[in-house]
Amino acid sequence: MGKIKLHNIFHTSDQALLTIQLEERKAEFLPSIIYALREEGISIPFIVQSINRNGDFTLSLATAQRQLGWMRAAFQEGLDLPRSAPLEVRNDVVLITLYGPHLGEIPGVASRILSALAADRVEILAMSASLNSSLLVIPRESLPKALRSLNRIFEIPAK
Amino acid sequence: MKKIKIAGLRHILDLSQVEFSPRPTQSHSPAMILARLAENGINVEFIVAHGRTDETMELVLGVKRNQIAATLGLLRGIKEEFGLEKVYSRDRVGMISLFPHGSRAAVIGNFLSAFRDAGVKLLTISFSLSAISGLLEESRIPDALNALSEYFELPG
Repeated sequence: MGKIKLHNIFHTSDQALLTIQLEERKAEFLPSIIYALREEGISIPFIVQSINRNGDFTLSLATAQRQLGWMRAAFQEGLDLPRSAPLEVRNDVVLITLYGPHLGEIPGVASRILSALAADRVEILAMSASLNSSLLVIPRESLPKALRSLNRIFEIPAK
Repeated sequence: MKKIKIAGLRHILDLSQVEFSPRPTQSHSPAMILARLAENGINVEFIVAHGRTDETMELVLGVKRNQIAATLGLLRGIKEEFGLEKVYSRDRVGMISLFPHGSRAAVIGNFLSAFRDAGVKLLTISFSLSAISGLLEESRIPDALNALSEYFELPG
């Protein structure tokens, strides 16, 4: 099977991944929390959200490790979460961005990415793919392995 | 309120959303399931995956509506093999993608506010390098686009 042509691949280190599971009614507070993060100059390089059948939603966000404390506090307070709230944090993660273009038009790209990473035992903490790029969140220690895996399936033009 | 300039806004109709979560012991399951879909010519327009602490992965896919029957048939056929306890689907879904210039936190805040103002439920949000995409009920796309136009300024 031939390699898939890719425009670029890059990674952002020193990230933390925050995952929150909440009742749907709390979703209305999200915009103000996000605005508060903007005011503090906290960037969010990765965000995915989904709602399950019961109406509960799962939100996963990545931010720079150094900004995790602030972000955690913003969600804890903004959503009025008790200290025992289901707020999961994964430290020392890396965000890998694969930029197409046209990735979304090629069937099987996601399966090849996941297969290559699974074969090399790289844990995928979160993933998002649409249109022309795919973002992956993985543990920091897996980065060299993950890049080798991805280089097996993608052809990246020399800079 | 000052509108944020964006590079573009587009929407796609005729999608369906599928959700499932393979059992934890099958670490390769998501890859193998997506491979089966690809082998059968099913293109996934949209993917969101959340890893969980119990090592399962919750997967939400957006596929073209004319491929939903094939997708569900295939997933139901491999339910036992991959321990898919439940496969959920939702029809008449559309996707709105917004292409920002920068200032992502502001853009995400406005994106969420627009949907909240319009009373439109965002079923799933995904982030890619150049766009923020959301799945929503197809019938609410005009309302969502109107609300977004209050927060964002399109070129031209």
